Amino acid sequence: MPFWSPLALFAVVLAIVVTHLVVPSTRGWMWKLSALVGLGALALLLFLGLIWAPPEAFMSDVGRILYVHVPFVWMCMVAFTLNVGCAIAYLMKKSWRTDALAESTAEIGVMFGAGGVLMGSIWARPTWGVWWDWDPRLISTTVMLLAYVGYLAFRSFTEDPERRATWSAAVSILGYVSLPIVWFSVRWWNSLHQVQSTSQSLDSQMKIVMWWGTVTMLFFLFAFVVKRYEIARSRQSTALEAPPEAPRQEVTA
Amino acid sequence: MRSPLLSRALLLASLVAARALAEDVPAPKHPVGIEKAVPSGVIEGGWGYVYAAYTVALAGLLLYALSLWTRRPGAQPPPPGDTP
Repeated sequence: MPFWSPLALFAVVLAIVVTHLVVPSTRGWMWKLSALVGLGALALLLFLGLIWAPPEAFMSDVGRILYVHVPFVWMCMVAFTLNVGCAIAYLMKKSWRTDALAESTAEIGVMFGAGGVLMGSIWARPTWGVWWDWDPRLISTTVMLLAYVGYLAFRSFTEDPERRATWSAAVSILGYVSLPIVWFSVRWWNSLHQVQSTSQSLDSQMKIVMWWGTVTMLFFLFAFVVKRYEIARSRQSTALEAPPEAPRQEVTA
Repeated sequence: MRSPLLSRALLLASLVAARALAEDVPAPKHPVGIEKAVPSGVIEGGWGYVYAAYTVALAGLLLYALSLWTRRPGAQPPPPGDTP
């Protein structure tokens, strides 16, 4: 497996995203292409992670869990970063599109984050000897996920679309404060969780699999965001057509 | 029998060597003595955990895709009152 293969795969996902954004006529099927390429890349990731990659020096085969655990957590962080970007954009210029995108990315981020935490717990059992520990990284990650679960709960309980969009944007910005705390928690405090690996500390084969896994998840992230955005837009149009919300037309569609 | 001068020279040399070593070796980032409490070695086996984690990853992607499909616009029939 050449070292540049994850970079080539990243070029593919970047081309798909850019084409989707720039050429509106491709929006109906570009997500399908992304999901299809993602499935192929996922099949290869299973081979690379379970067979091709060498065992880790201390964790041995248990280290293979990191090829799915780390990309899941990274996708969670990417989704939450998109979410806060949409929240800031909404507060600067009110648009239902950015509000729908914010809702989509928050839900997808929670899904990836919950999966990442679950896989981390499975990894912790053979390496730390426990399923869970009240460690700074784990606590901060839990707080971050709970903040976004609260964000989604707030959105589902608030009926007025404009109030929901404005207040949830504020909640999103407040919730995002937890992300840098999660990232730096392993450096700021004496954490049981290991610090982030660097290019120097990773074996070249392991580095390829880690990046391959990350780019593979980007394909799914994109496909999920497109489909979840459609659902959010559909719900918005239903809510805006409903009689109580009908007079509110200040926000551009 | 070691002469006092030789003893002093040896003591001085050991002090200089200890200081030089102390400057070269960075201070440990964890509490001193924790090495005794942490078991060393390589984890053996653990494939069950590996398969469990990969199953969680695949199931997470599959179930979320399924949830998007069931919630797609137009998937749910309109309420009975809305139909003519």
